[in-house]
Amino acid sequence: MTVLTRQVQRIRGPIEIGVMAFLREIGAMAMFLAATVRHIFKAPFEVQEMILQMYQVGVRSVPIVLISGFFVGGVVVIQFNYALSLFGAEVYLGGITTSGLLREVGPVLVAIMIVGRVGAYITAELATMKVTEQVDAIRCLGVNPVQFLVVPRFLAVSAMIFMLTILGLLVALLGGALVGNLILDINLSFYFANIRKLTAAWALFTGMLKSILFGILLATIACYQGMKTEGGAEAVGQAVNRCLVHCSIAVFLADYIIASLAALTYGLAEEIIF
Amino acid sequence: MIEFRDVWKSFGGHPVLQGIDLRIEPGERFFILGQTGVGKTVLIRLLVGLLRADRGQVWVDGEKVTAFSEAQFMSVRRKCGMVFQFPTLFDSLTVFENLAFALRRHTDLSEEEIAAQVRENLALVHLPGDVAERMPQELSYGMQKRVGLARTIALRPRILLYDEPTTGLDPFTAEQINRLMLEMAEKLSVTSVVVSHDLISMVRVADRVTLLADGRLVEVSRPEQFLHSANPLVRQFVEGRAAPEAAP
Repeated sequence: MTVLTRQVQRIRGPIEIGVMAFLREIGAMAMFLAATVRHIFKAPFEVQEMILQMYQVGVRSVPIVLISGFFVGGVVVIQFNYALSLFGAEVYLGGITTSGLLREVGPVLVAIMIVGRVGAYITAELATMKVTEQVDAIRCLGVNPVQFLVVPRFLAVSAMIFMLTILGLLVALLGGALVGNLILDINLSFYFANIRKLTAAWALFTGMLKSILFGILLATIACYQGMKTEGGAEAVGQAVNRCLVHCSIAVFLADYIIASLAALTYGLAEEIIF
Repeated sequence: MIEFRDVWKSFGGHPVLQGIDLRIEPGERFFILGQTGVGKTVLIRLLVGLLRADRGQVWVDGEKVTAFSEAQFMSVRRKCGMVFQFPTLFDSLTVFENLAFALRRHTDLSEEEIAAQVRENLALVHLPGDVAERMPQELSYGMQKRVGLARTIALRPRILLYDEPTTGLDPFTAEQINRLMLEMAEKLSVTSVVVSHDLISMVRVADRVTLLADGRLVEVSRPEQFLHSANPLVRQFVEGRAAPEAAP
């Protein structure tokens, strides 16, 4: 047996175990998502819990979305302005900035902010309920915990990420325009005139599609990590940690896949849809 | 009636229950004693489907629940209330909302009727009505345990499962819980299954008692017989002697 073969066999075991564990986790999460979706259509619908979660997820995230959205818009304008000025193409600043924000920066930025603020909160809350037997208590009172705890959070996160993305985008565009005008001395009428010209409806569609998908991914991962927690305080911390890591990876991976698919189908879709 | 027939359960290859056979009659106050970690809680969790047996049959009220689905267990849980070791109150809800939780979801009662029912349940566990508007964390541990019991009896279950009801309580509060267990059995005509290692509580409340040791039930007897049993495992438990070290 060659040294290379022995080396391959030595590392094959752990890799196989790792791949199997990863696939098992993906499978379990898919089943969790399926169970959640199934329970959306089952009575009773927990309206009060859903409104409470929408407030927690959405309304309480507004300040951070406003602040970071404004500054991200400003940073993007400064960066694009520098690049465009090399070619004397500052006139296109508004259009290119808006297209980039709609398609990429906006949805990803809002999703990442929500992961840190809301994903961690939801996982910690559900995990704590799990380890303190509150979830078992819900089951013992004849109530399905997926229906009572997961469905309202899932719908609230999915819906609010979509709305927060729209809000974040509007503020980022405003921030970009203001920074462009006040700091870079760019004419606002030029800035806005090019938005319509350079920003295709397809960019808006892609951005919105991303925000919906990110919302579903974050809601699923945060709730799944919370509900599968077993143990004590340490397990809660580990669940929150896993939620943040998995959500961040999922957002960037999904962003890459959608961006690739969008690039492939851009011409065709634009022809068919618009 | 509750019945375990040759029930086995293990965790990670470690056997916890090894062929449990037990029958608990309606209206009985039955104690399952044993050291911490021997599997007493596992036994009552099997009754409400929070855990599943590896082998054997579990019967509740004439129904074999062993192979029940999660949805089927929902009806079992409504007639089989569980009082957890820790209060497990929903800390984001007020005491009133905790007590109304099951009523709002399983009955057609109006809000006024629910409020009346909540007051009645608080009175049953000797708590004043003004407790209803407080948050669980504003109550003492003993009060939280009583609210937990009040929440469990909301749907008037026919069987009450108590998991270590007096553990961690001072003697005065433990005695209050003992009295409540007796009152629940009498006023609500429930069958009580109590998992505990508290001998004083057992003497005060139990009709019959058994000891779980090494995955098996050692003896089923009346409390006074249990205290004077000649069985070495029972003697060891009653006298609080440590188990002899296994020979190397």
